[in-house]
Amino acid sequence: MNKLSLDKETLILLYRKHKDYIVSVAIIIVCFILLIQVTIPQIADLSVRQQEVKTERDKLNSLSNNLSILSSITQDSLDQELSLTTSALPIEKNFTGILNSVTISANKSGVFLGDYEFQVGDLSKTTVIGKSLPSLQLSLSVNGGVNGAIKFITELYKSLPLAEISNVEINNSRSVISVVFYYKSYNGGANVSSPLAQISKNDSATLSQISGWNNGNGQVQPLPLPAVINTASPSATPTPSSPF
Amino acid sequence: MSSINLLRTEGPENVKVQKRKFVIRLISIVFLFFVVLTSITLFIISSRISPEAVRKEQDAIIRNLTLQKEKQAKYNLLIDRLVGINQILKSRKNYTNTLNALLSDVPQGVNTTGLSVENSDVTLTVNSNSLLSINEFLTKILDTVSKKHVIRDMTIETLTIDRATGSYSLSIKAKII
Repeated sequence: MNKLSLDKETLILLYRKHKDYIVSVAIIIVCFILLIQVTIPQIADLSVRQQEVKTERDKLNSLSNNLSILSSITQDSLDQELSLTTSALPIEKNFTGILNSVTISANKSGVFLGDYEFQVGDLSKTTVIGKSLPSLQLSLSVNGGVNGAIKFITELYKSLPLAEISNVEINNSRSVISVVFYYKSYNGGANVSSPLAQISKNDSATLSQISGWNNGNGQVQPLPLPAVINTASPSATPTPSSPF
Repeated sequence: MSSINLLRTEGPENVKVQKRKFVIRLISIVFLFFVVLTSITLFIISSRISPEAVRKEQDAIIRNLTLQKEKQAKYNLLIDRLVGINQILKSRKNYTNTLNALLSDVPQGVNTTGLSVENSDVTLTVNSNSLLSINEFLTKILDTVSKKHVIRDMTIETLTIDRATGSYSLSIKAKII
């Protein structure tokens, strides 16, 4: 019976006999393993890196855009526009601004203000009417006839804070007008890398429109800015908080 | 004297073997070069498209932005206010044009005694000593309805006469467009 033995001599003999094949086949096998284990994963990794670089580039573009927007606007014009917009849409209920707006509108329209009543509602809840923005309703009694009341409403529409008439009841010389004054809270959650929106033509038109309105030229001091913006030193005098 | 041929004769089998060896050797060399070149190329591409350089640029800009953090916070607030203001200006109902249009139709000799607006419904009450004036008012207001498109669904609520004073009172109701 033939016994298959793979001793050293046999192996050397086999190697010598098939030397040319063995080296070539070994190279092919090693290359194949390298291709499967290294090269193909490298290709897959490359596409992941490309995606990563694209994401980082987008982020870089967004940051560059933020920087260019901030560089294009001066501190003075920003403060002025911010003051105007916070007068138009305060961060919280701005009673002083509302009363100022009502008084200016009454003076301009030549009507006399009678009683007025703030319908503050539940202080723990935010009143939202219609447009998903919180608001404060004010019921006004105006003496001045139909034309006077309409003039008053027209003036009120061109006043800051922004108002909307919800009900009008005019009887001879006495009118009861329900006005809604809007405000909008601000959480200020954005960080430096959050993309900034450019001020559009529509926004510029809005700014120029409301700047000509009553209270739009700084007649009313806007409410203090939220804490996220206030950079006053800790030793500075704290701003008194609203009683509401 | 017999001669000995020292040169090996190239039989067809031997040629076939040599050819096979050559093909295998060629395949192995080509494969080796392919793998080596591909790996080197991938390494170079991979090192060139590293996100690290982009991140360094980002850090430089972020440092610059951090210095303007207050300005950025103010700008964000400004944009937030503008969004809200535009939303209100776009959607708030302005009744003044409608009311002015209605009142401009009130002719001489007719007095406006009541006007109410509630949930886009407008009610206008006028009175006059003359039915002709009331008629003139109605004609004008119907003309306004068809031309200016400020109100729709107009109905006459009441038309009464006060015998003591001899004045007529008309109340109309319509929906503001």
